[in-house]
Amino acid sequence: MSLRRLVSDLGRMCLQTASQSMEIQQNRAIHASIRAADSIRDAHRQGTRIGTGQVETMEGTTGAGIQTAVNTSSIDARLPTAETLKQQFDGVAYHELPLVYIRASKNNTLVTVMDNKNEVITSTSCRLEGFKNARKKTTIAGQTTGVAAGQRLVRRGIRTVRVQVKGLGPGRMTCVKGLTVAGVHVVSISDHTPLCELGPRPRKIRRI
Amino acid sequence: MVRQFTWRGTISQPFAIKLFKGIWNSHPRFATRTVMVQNNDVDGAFGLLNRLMDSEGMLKIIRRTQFYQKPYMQRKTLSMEASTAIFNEDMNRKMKFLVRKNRPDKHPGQVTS
Repeated sequence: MSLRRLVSDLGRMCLQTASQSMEIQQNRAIHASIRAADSIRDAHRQGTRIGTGQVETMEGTTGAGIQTAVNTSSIDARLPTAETLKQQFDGVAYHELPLVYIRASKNNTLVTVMDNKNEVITSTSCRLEGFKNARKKTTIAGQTTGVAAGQRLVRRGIRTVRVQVKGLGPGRMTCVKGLTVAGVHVVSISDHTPLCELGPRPRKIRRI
Repeated sequence: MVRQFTWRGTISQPFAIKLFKGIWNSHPRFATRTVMVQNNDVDGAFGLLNRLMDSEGMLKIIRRTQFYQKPYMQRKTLSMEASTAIFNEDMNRKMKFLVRKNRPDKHPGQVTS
């Protein structure tokens, strides 16, 4: 992400984005030494003169040791750039698309849909979809919540959204999957899980 | 209730830019930790997002700050990481040695007549 951020900053300054792929290629040849086949007894027969052998490259092993190229262009194509914010998706600019906030905690999955003016369009959760107690923390509950939210969006005529996910709960991936099952076109997925490394002290560890 | 004690993470962040106060507002939204979905392939996008977050150490931070780790647990974690690194290095060297092909000398180190 650091390189992506740097390239994005450079692109914002130069008013153009140059997406480059990194090619890391390494060639290593196997060297053969004639002296390696000799033994110590043969060396002593020649009067303890151990000279350095002739180093040459063996034929037949020319391609050995070549590592595969690390090409990140396929990954760079799926990361957002400065132009993505103004890009049109189904006729709507990216920064004006409705937002689907998904909070996938360990025990629950909540979905809130906002428009770009920060007004709530609809919201639902596992409990509102009929899952109570321990069944809230399942992937089925997460997917059902996503399907329900997606159906309400389709009924309102909203078919293109961007998704922001918070938390590592069971409904993290299945909720977005439920949105696509209901017919909503998901443009991007952002992660907004809080990184509390510098924050207050976390809760006491569970005594099991 | 005023929190008098603030837990400053003693285990440093493994990769990427170090965390700092106000890191959220310093970066524009939907520019970082964002993956565009191609052809409505949500699973592929999540796979890429999780892989990038894992390689930059974010998943480790999220899991570690879920519960408070007592100082002896933090030391144990550091020790485990160091031991794992040493073990991985040794095993990689052994496997590289054993899977060699086209060896000029079939039994290196052995005295032959």
